[in-house]
Parts: sequence; structure tokens; C-alpha cells
Amino acid sequence: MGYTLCLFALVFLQALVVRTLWVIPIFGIREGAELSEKRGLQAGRALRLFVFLGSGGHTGEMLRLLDNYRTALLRPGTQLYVGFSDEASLRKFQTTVGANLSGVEVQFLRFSKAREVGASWLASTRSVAFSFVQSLWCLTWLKWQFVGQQHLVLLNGPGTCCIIASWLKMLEIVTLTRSKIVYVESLARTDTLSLSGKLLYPLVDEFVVQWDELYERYDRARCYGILV
Amino acid sequence: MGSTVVVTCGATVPFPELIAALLDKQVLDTLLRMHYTRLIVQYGRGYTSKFAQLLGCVRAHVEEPADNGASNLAAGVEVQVRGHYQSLEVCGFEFTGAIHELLRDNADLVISHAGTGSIVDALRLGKRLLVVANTSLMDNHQLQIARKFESRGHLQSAAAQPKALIAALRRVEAAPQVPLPNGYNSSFERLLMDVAQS
Repeated sequence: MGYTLCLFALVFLQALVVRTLWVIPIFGIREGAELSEKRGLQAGRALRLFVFLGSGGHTGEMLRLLDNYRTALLRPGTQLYVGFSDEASLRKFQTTVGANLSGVEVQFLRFSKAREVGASWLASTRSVAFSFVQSLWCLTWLKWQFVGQQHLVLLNGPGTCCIIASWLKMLEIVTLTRSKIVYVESLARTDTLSLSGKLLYPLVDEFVVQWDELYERYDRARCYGILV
Repeated sequence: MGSTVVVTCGATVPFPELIAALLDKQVLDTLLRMHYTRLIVQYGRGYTSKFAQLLGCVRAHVEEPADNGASNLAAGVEVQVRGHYQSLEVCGFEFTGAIHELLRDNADLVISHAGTGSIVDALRLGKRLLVVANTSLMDNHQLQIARKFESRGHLQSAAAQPKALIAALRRVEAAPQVPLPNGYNSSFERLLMDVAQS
């Protein structure tokens, strides 16, 4: 009995390792998305898109990105999920891209900030733990919305994106689905990656930089010039 | 109608060094020689009295702002300090949410901090651009950004000193500016769609 259980656990563990290696792009086992004509635009199918707005510059770049690629990303029928953690970013969304949408349903997901400036050690620990659990719950719900739907996750540099991408990858491993995360590094990073960029480089499905110097330095990176 | 320079320090962080360098007698004289007739400055929150004081230092005639709408700029921006340096009209205010409209409707030349948002905004509007990196900020890479865009001919950059500003203004006048292409790239769009459909 014990022996069978052991064997079972071993097989399961092996399967998990294989699955992890398969899913994490840096190991290069699974083919990346090919830039091919074969799929083409599936006009009939609606897209479910998640973006995260961080703060200040990151929010500005994400909003520009949405605006520049609105014909593909914000077609009528699209379901847009907007993650945010500060009110200023939410207002900025509503006065720019959000004010100019037709046929796109928008749903806001509030991610609590990990830490308020000046909070005590105890309060910080509690709020970090709370924000972590709350984020994971939010993302698991989001993942559920994506099941069986054409979807995409678009992230840039804010710190919360590390939690978002890691958890979505985690769910990809255990649920046998695809995470479909595209990360676009900030235009402000000219020759080194941001901390978020460094952490997410091995993890996300497509990693895009906006300057040639970064493109030359990182094998997995794609570069299409300035996108924002 | 003469030409207008719009100066912006960025919305979130003050940049008093830029304002101090700008309101230098020689810099203002250079602007006059380049036939600019109006200087509009977003100087940042909490710097109204400092701005008025600097204007006084160059013996500009500072007016009390009028209570009626007469002192407002076209884009609905309320001027808080107005003065005249010879034939150059100087309008200053703390902050506006309508900076994009102000640049679009009024600016012939933009002088800005070297934040990517401000740079891309001005260049996409097709404005001549001079940037000054705010080097007092930690970890925001303004100097690298300014150099990168300058090396591609999109803008001129200068340090926050009168002499450097004057030299950069002359370069703006002398050299043509390379336009920034828009952010749309069909290959990137295809990548997004390929990932979504994978």
C-alpha cells in the first residue's frame, strides 16, 4: 500500500516538473507564438483582455498602448478587465481610453496596495498579507473568466505585475490552460531592464522591449520600436 | 500672432532648477531674439510665489492676475502669474490637466522635463522639443532617455543651466527635427493577436 502511494506521488511529482518546464518559456521547450499568417484574425470571436494600471508613468504608457492598438484590442464585443491599485490611474483611464469606447464592456478589478507609506511594521505585514490574498483571489476569478475564451493579459512594469504574472503561471501549471501574458517594458528603460522586467523575463509568454539595445541583450525579447 | 514657448515641469515632481534657469535674463533675451512673444510655464504645485519672485528678479513687469476670465489661456488654463519681460509675455500656473490641449493649440516650441510621457506627447503633436533632464530624481533615467531621443534627432537636450539652455535653443533653431513615427506597428499587433489565439 505504502509502496503504491509512493510510486503515485513520484509520478505526480514528475508530471508536475515536466508541466512546469513546459509552461515556463525560458526553458524553450514549447514553441513560442509564431508570427504567421495561418491563424489570421478570428473576427467572429470576442476577446477578453486584462490590463493592469500601476501608477504615474506606467499607467500613462499602458493607456497609450491601448489607444494605439485599439482596433485590435478594443473591438466592439471585447470584454476589458482593468486592474488598478490607485485612484489617480483609474480616473486617468476614465478620462482617456475609457471615455472613448463603443461596444466594449469594462470591468474594474481593485488590487489593494501592498503597503501605505509610513505604515507601522505590524500594519505593513498585515496589509501585505491581505493584499496578497486579495490579489490571488481576484486573479483566480479572472482566470475563471478566461476559461474557454479567447483572451490576453497585457502588463508593463509596476510591482504588482510580478504577483499577477506568477500566479497566472501557477494556475497555468495546475489547470492545463494557457496564461497568454505579453509584457511590454517601459520606454524609460533604455539599456537595462526594470526589476519587474528582470523578474518576469523568464516567465511571461512574450517579452517586448522598446529600444534596440535591450533587444540585442536579451534573446527572448522582441522589439518593434516605440509602441506607446 | 507671434510664437509661443510652453514649458512644463511634469505633473508629479517639481523641477525648480529648470524654472530658475529659464527665468534668466540671457535666456529670456535669447527667446526675444528668436522672435518668441509668449512664454507659458507650468511651474508645479507650491511654486507660485517663487515664480513671481524670479520674474521680479529679471525686472519683468508683474501684473496682478485679473479675476475675470480675461487671464485664461485658450485651453481653459487659468493663469496665476502674468508678467512682461520687454515684449515677451510670461504666463505661469501651477498645474493643468489639459496640458495636451495647451501644447496642441498654443506651442511652437516645447521645453520640458525628460519624462517619457511628456516627450512622446510633444513629439506626437509634431512640436519642436527641448528637454532638460531632472537629475535630482532617483532612478528615473531622465538623462538616458534624453540622450537616447537626442541621438535619434527627435529633440535637443540641455542641463538645467542658462548657458546650456541658450546653446540648446540655438541648436533647435539650426537643426531640423526628426519626426517620431506613431506607435502603431502591425507586427506587434499580429503578435498580440497570435498570443490571444494561441
